[in-house]
Amino acid sequence: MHERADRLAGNVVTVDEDLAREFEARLVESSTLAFRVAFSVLRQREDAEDVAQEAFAKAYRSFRQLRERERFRAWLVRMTWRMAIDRHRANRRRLARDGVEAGLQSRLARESGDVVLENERAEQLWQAIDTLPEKLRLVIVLAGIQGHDIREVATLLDVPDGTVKSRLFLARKQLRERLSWMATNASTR
Amino acid sequence: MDGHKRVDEVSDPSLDREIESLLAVEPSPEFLARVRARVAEEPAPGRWRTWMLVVPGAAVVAFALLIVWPSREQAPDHHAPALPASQQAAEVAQQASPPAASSEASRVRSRSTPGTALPPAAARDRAIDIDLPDVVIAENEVRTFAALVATIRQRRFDVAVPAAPDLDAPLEMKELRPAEPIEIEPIVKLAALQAEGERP
Repeated sequence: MHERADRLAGNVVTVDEDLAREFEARLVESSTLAFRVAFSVLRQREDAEDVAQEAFAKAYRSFRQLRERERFRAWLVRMTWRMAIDRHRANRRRLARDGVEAGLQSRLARESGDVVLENERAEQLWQAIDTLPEKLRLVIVLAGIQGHDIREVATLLDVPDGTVKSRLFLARKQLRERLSWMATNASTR
Repeated sequence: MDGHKRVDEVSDPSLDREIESLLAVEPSPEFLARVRARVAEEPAPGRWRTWMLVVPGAAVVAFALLIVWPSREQAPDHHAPALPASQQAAEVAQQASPPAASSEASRVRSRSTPGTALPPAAARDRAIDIDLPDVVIAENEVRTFAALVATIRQRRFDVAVPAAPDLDAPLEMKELRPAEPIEIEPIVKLAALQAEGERP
């Protein structure tokens, strides 16, 4: 009886160990992706790392329920994106509540941080990306991360290749228009 | 104008390259270690959800048991058959009466169930077997009656019934006082009108 219980307990431990090992492998291969997805929304390294970390913790909690493990990256990307958007909104609300002074301090802190917006062009590009609708924005970000091709982006978003193509086309078009408008405004100032 | 030229020159590949360079940010070296530490704080995968279901479920069941169990113990047994009134009265009388009277009560009970002395459960079963209509008496009435019986047995008050009236005896007629005549005065106005010859 005891032997059987021990054997069963041993099996459980083995299953948990297998899961933990598998999760570790996923963590190593997807950590940068999750961080960059969060960074594309938050534009702050610390916040992005926090969000990515929480996304991994959440993923770990539900890892056993994930039936198709090969879709882990897609699942993680969507979760991280959503959490980063939530964090961004919360940050904005907090800034609005704390007033302009706090906002200025935050901006100064950001500019003195590790990630420095190198030039005005980069800032313009970020602003242009921010104005895109969410679906187009996610596509252009994922395509810009680690040189993902259309198929990889389609897999991550669980949409057909054609959808990714059309969204990419629209996103680039809108970005060009937005950048053009910004450049015109800058030159007339 | 300068800006226009620059934007026109932006092709898809160059735009993509720019975006790639924007997103080519590496996490800090300790990021992975922090994530591992954070994940290690979590319970084993999948069990967390199970516990989230099991713990509140167990709490609800325990709460329900705490509520239901005592109320079941206090509730009267509605399924038990009602005892015949005489038996109930005898049993209650035995409970209500002091030890001296209890022997009398037991005699009453033994008279009501002649033959063998049955234990209460057997007596109840026997009560079910009797095919006669039974009178269900309210518990408080039974108790009051038993108390009355016990009091009588202790001879604490006289229960002599007053003598019944003799129906054949002649009725006694009392003399009535004569009524005084009532005088009613005529209505003045009506008399006056009649005198004038007008109709009222």
